Amino acid sequence: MKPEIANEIDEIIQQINSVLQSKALPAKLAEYSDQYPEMAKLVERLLALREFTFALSEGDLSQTMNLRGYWPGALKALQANLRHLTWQTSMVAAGDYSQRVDFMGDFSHAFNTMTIRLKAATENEQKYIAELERQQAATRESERKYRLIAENTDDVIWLLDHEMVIRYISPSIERLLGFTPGEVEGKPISQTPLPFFQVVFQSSTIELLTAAGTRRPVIVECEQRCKDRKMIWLESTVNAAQNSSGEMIGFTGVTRNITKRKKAESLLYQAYERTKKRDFFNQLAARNDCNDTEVLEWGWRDKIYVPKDFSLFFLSMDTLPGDEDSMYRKQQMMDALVDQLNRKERTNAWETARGVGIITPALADAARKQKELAAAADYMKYISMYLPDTPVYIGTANYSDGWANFANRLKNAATAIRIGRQVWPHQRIYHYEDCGIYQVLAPFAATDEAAAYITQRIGPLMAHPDLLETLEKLLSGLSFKEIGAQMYLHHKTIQLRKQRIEQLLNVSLDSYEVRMALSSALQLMKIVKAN
Amino acid sequence: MGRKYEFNWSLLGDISEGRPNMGPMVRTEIYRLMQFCFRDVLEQNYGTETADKMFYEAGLLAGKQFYRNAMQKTVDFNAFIQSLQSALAAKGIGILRIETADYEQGKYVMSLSEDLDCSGLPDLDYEICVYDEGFFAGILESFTGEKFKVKEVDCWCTGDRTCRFVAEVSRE
Repeated sequence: MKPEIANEIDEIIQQINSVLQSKALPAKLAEYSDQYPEMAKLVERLLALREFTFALSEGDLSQTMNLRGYWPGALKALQANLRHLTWQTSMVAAGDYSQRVDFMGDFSHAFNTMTIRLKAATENEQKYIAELERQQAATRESERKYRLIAENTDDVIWLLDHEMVIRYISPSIERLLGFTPGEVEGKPISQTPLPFFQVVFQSSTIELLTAAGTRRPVIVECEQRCKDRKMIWLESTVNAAQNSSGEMIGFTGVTRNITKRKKAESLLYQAYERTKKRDFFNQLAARNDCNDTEVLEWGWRDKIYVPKDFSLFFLSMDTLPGDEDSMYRKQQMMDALVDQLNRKERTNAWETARGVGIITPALADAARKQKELAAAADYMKYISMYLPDTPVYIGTANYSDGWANFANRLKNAATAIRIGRQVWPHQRIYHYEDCGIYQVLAPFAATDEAAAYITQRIGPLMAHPDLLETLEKLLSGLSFKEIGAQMYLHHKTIQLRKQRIEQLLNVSLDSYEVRMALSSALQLMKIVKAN
Repeated sequence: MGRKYEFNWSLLGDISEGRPNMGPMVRTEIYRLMQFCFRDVLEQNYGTETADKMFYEAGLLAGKQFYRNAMQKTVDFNAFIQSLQSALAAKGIGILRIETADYEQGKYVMSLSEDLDCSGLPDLDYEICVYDEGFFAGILESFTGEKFKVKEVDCWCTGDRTCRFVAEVSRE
């Protein structure tokens, strides 16, 4: 080979080699391409391959190469694989983790591991999200239920933070006390119109709630004024509120209206006290040998504080108001009357079989009787405010020291009413000590001999009430003229009636003994009628 | 006289019963022997263009039957491609890869490596997988309900290492 040709071949090889090695094309390449057409084709194909390869290296998979053959085919296979990977990756990005790469060596393993882990991570994430959503739904449902309960119950539910600021209070506060949640929420308890909070959170309550290891609620009862000025009783159940870490974050509580319950408790207590007093005094009234020391001790034992010396009254009513057939209603009225009397200072009252007994401390001084009558009048006035339309009578017992004669005195007080209503019908307060001869006659009036005595003495006059009345006037020592004036009759008529009485009874009214016997019969008759 | 060779899947027979010893597999060159002999005879009798048209139509019919009898039915496109990939690999037809997918335009570029019909053939300077073109068109038409035109743009026979097909919805 000629040296010139060999040099030219070397030059051409270098030129072609520079297409593979250098970015810039050698200056003589165009010259040789013009000189050798096949070389021009070769260079053109090499440049096409170079351009396509460069595009692939830049990540440009859109290039098209029209060359055919082994080398271009291999590059196009690579392009096809990369395009498929791009599509698969976009599928993975869209959430399709089932994509797998095969027949690409180590890359296949790496890609498939990535999609498997992505799938597992996504599934875990989906499980976590599902669990989170389930918990959130459960929390929302729980909150909805609690809110439903809080907003529809009559009880007031509240939450205070550790600085005693009301963070939540249920709308039922308005039904309970008249204040709206907006008037109290966000305020410290001392700046709200709800003083019951301050009663609830006394230092002792907080100590109990915050004591280590205690989880017991504290129940506090107190009165609170409503917005409309009405007082009601409240019961508050308080608990310490803790977060999930066990730290105390404030207090929760439920407050409810217990006015009715308090009233019922009060009524129950009054009923107990009433029954206790009734049994105590009625037992004493059944015996007449009471010893002062013994009575006072019994009283102390039952917490009934009785004086050693006392005035004793008996209160009687014709009827109680309301339906006469309603025994329950009558008993209610009687109980209320006894409770009312017991509220009066220095007074013990109890229900007896026929009325109400009352004792109040007294001393045996000179003005004792007047004081007793004044006290009876005071009781009468006090009761009339409670039973304005019911006729009430008060009998006052005779006085004696201590309890030894209690049973008799109680009977005497009742007798005073019985006699007084016959003898002094225009009065309502009677003192046994004013009953005079009736004190003696009264015990006798209950016997058969009393009725026989009355029949024997004035029996024939029983059919003539006008003659009985005239006889009573005649026995009182009045003159015919005075009696006539009182009875709106002529004095001769009175005289004729006197003769008629003497004729019917076959006695002379001029005899002192006869007059005394008839007078006794007349008084006895009044007592018998009263019985 | 009625038709003699109208295709239905049952014509493939019960291979497990019929070939208890030979089994379902046959060597690739035997499959190709039959196919290329068919091509030869058809070309000699009807010319190259008609022979290719017949192969395309045969592939179209085969694709529809393959979709109906050998693939899992799916709803979305990605699952459909996965099913097709699995079925093609399971039957030893080739390794399918999607290069690009334009759902709105209905245009897809896919490649089939180790193609049963052509991989390993000598360089011939022209694409030869016309049966595959019809085959993919039949499958895509069965899935989408629209007619497709499929054209092979790169083939082993043109020196490429994988067969690349462009499938487009036929607007004609």
